[in-house]
Amino acid sequence: MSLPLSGTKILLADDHAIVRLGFRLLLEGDGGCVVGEAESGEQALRLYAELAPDLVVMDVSMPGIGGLAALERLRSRHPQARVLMLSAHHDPVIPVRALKAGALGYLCKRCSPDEFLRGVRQVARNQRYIDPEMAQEIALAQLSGTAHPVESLSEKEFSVFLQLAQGCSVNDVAKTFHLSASTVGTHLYHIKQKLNAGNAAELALIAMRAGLIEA
Amino acid sequence: MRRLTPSLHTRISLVLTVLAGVLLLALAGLWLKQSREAIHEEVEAASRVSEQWLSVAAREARARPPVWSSERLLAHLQAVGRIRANVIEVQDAAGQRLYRSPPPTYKAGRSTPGWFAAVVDPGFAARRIDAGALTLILHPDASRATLDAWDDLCVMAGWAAALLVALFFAARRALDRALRPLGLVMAALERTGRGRFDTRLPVFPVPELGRLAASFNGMADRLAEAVNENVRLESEHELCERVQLRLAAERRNIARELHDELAQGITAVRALAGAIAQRTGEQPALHGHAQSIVAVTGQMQDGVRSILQHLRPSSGVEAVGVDETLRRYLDLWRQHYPDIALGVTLQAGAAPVGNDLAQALLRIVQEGLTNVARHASASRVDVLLRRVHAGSESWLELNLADNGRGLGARSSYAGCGLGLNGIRERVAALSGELHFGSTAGAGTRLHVRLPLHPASTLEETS
Repeated sequence: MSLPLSGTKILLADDHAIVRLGFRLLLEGDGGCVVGEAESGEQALRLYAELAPDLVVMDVSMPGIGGLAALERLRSRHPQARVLMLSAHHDPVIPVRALKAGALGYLCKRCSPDEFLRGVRQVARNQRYIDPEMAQEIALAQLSGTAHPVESLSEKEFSVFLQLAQGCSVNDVAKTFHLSASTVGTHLYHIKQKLNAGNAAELALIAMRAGLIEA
Repeated sequence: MRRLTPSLHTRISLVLTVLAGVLLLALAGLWLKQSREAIHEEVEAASRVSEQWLSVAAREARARPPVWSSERLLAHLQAVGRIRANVIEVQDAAGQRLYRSPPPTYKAGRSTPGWFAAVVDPGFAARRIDAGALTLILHPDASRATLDAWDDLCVMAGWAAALLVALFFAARRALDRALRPLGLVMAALERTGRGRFDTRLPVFPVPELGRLAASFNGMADRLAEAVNENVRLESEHELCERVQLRLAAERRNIARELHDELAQGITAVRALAGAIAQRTGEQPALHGHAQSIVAVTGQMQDGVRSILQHLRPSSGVEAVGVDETLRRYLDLWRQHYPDIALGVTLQAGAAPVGNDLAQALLRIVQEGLTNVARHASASRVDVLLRRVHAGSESWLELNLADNGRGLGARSSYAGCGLGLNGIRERVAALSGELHFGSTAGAGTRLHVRLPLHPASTLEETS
């Protein structure tokens, strides 16, 4: 019998090896072929260029530039890349971000294995997929006009914002994103304006409240 | 203060001495009066004897001129010399003085001051006795008696002065001794005033001062107790804060561990169980177990999620915003105190507010309303929260006003001192301002301003 994911080359990006193992087994059981595993956004970018997989399954939070920034770069270099983003967070801000940044699908990490496979199959067919549990919240968040101020950030600013909120210094961020410190400074300026924030501690607070980082 | 104390002694001693002096003066007056009378009697008596004697001699001279010639009378008088307390003068028919008895030999050459003589000398008229060709004039002379009185007075005045001086110093000394504890009291008060609450007074033998010392010691005991209590409360407060911080940090750690490790582990187990279920379609026993694991891990994930939500600090405020959080509390309060009309205006808006700021606002409102309910006897209280913008700055303004009896009346501070201090600390920590106004009978007003962007600097490179 032909399995739904037969012959699909998949790249797995998650910083937890045991999680990768579980997903790999699931995907392989469904006929998929996990051609590579990455434990950071940077490594995922490298492996994608090397292996040219059909599909990337990537966690949002990873060391280094993290999943969202990796997604952005990946899409800018390979606009056809199909990416299913995973996150352990339950806030609508992240999925909206991820989908805007070009992810085809978004799944919560606590979804059931069946749900996971459904999502992967959908994305493999180049169709959009949103975690049904999150879908309503995401739609409501977009509709109700109570859009989080974080939404107003540009993609780049959002990535920088996440890094800064996690306690990285401007110089760290500049190094991570290969930007000049003054560019990051400009981003920081805009971020503060848009978020009405005064300092790094407030940025962290906003990020925490939006569920972008853990308390 | 210390120099005033001896001057008090001196003053009291002086008053005593002056009183004694006045008494002595009165006595001296009495004595003068008696002296005057005594002098009068003495001189009068002497004058009468002399007059009788002279009268006899004059009669003789008049009756028997040959035997008692004028010359003989004169010689007789000269032979007699001075008689006590009188001066005898003999004049001839022409008024020419023929003889005057010699001046007294007793205390010769001395005399009393004129004013004293004027006071004491009763004054006597001269007596004239006709002795034929001669006239005998008897001048009573009180000068010796007066001089005696004067000498007595001088001696007595000397003694009196010595007595007064002795009295002055004795009184001063006695007062010094009796009031010496006052210096100790003074010093103890000063020490206590400088914050040395361990100062105690000995129990003085003087009963009044003993009572003073006892009350002072009681006061100092209570003061020390209050200070100790304060210190204890403060350190408890501090400990509490530290424990809170530790707890919060611990919660964050647990949340992180749960999220990063446990949740990921469960995800992995779930995926693995899913994979097993995939591969065991033909082995119903294994497949069923794998499906069970998938189901159970799903429940575990829900469990972790709810624990995480619990662990998140004050997820309530974050989820619903300041306005809603306060509104919920105020609704609850309204139910508890239906007799107090509660006016609520909440206009903080939807824009995010720092968590500690929201927490502080909630705490302040709680504390303020608790005070109103407990102490104010108010019938109405208004809560106003609004966001204020001015230039590039913006802040949250909270006003709490009641129409109660205000502070100034007695009990009010009793329960709210610490609460108000707590509010003050929170506001200060957020670089805000707090004004607490109260007029007796016209309610209390609590005004708090919390800046939304504390002007701190962190990583300012742009």
